[in-house]
Amino acid sequence: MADIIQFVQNLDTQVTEVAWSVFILAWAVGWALRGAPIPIFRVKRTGQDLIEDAILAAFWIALGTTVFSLITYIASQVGS
Amino acid sequence: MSSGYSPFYILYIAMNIATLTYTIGSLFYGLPIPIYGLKKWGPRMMSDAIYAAVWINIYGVIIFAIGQIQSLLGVDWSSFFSSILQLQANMFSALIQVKSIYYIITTEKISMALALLADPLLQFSSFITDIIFLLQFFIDLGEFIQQSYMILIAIGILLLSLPFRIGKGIGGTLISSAITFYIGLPYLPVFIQEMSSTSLAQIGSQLSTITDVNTLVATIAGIVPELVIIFIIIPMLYLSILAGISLGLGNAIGGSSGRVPFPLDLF
Repeated sequence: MADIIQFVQNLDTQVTEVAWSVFILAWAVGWALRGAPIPIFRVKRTGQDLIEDAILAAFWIALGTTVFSLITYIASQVGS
Repeated sequence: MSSGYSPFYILYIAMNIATLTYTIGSLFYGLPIPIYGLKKWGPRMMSDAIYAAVWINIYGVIIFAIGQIQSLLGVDWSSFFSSILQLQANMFSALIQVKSIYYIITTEKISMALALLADPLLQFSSFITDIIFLLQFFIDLGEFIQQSYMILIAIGILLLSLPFRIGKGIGGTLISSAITFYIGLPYLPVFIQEMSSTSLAQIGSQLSTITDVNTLVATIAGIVPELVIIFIIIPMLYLSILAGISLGLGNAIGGSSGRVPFPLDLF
């Protein structure tokens, strides 16, 4: 039964890695769009939105993984 | 119970899956694709994961609280089982009496007038057998709920924690029906007692007066409607009240409609 936990935790780590990479990608794409020398306001606005979302996502990833891993640790003391 | 299926182990898995859901949610949040339909899953899944984590952490409180509510109603499982088993024993003795009168009538070849009684007697005994099966269904349902309500609630929370709201409806209904039936099902004998005009002991004594052919027809004719009301209509009413409450509670927990996972459409 422990392999389910192992599987989910591995998946969890991988998804966290992907989430951080996606944050960096979104950050880069957002700044690229925002700083692009194109005088189209909608494109720049999309870049701004991407940056804002990326910052919020990074904040919630950092906070969430910390809190959730803390609770998971407590649950592991009770559950296993 | 094997260690692999303890409710707390299921909750541990659920906590891990909630973490996964949260991470996927934050991944969607930061996705550099400006499509609203895709990005709205981000905050939604993050809040779902927090919601599931709250359920995982108040699990002990819920288990304690439903025990408290059940004792506030003044009932417990042992009184439920003993009342239903008592009713079943009454029905068995009635069945034996009716069957023995039937055999006396059919084997002794008393008279044609008495032989006419054979058919109604057979029907009445099969009706009593139906009632015994129904009571056995209540006992089985009660044993199932009593033995596995903790694991049912844990599996419901596990379903709640799955990503993309896969199991939210059925998880909420699983939790709500386990809670409702654990609290409410032991109250069934009291409900039958309160709702029926004649007491169950009275019915038992009426059935035990079937000792000779003279009182037989009158007793059967008088007792059948009472038996239908007490053993079929009132329990069905009560179970549908419980099912309705658990559907409502399931909507409140899961946020969408689901079905009660017990075979209540048996009737």
